[in-house]
Amino acid sequence: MVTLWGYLKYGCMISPKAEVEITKNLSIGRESIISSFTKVKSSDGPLKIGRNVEISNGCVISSFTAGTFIGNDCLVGPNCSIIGNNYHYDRLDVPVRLQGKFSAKGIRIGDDVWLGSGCVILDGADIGSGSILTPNSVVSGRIPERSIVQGNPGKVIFTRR
Amino acid sequence: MSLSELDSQIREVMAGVFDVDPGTVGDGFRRDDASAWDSMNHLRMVSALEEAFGIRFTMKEVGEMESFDDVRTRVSQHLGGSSLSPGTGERAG
Repeated sequence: MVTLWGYLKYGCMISPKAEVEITKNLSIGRESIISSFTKVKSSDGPLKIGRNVEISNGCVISSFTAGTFIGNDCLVGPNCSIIGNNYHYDRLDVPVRLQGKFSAKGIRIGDDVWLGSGCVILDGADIGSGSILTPNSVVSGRIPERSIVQGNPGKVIFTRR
Repeated sequence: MSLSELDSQIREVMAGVFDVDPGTVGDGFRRDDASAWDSMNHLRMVSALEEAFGIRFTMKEVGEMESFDDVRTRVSQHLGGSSLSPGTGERAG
């Protein structure tokens, strides 16, 4: 059903085995692909996926109030997590899960960004166009354009030229 | 900078990135000689060299550096080969 909806509304390919929340917050660009066992959660905030974006298997992509925005021509490797919400944790007498979610800056991923397998992108990430994140990199801040990033926390090890 | 100083500085950078004994880095040291010389560490080496010498390689040069000799050639080209004196420890000219 979602597969048909995606194809008819956006001209994108959504695997029948992917789980995509269809809400008014969601927008997917033409020719984009969402592979099996990927979860796309858009009920809590704007979630925009650009054109020609390939999202591999087993990813989790969610948005919160500040939004999650993925540019055009991006590659998202297997098992990546793009998580747009954060939790308050300033009280010790209340479990974190009850202190409430928030989204400070949301997530912005530019055009032509390649996320290697297992990358984790968190609230506040602003990844410049043309960047490459090596497998298992963790990013929650600003990454300049054309950077190659490695590690947790992700650090720029090279600038493409 | 003398050629020996240049060698020594490159050796230090490469040994640090590839986590090998600086004594093993020198003429004839190639990519296959360091197990840690993978594509990621190659880029880290290039960035470390650029920072150490205040130079910037082209992508073509980045792809061509496969040994200590290649690295030395590229770095000395950027520093201006004529300004490197052979072992006096002084900048020529």
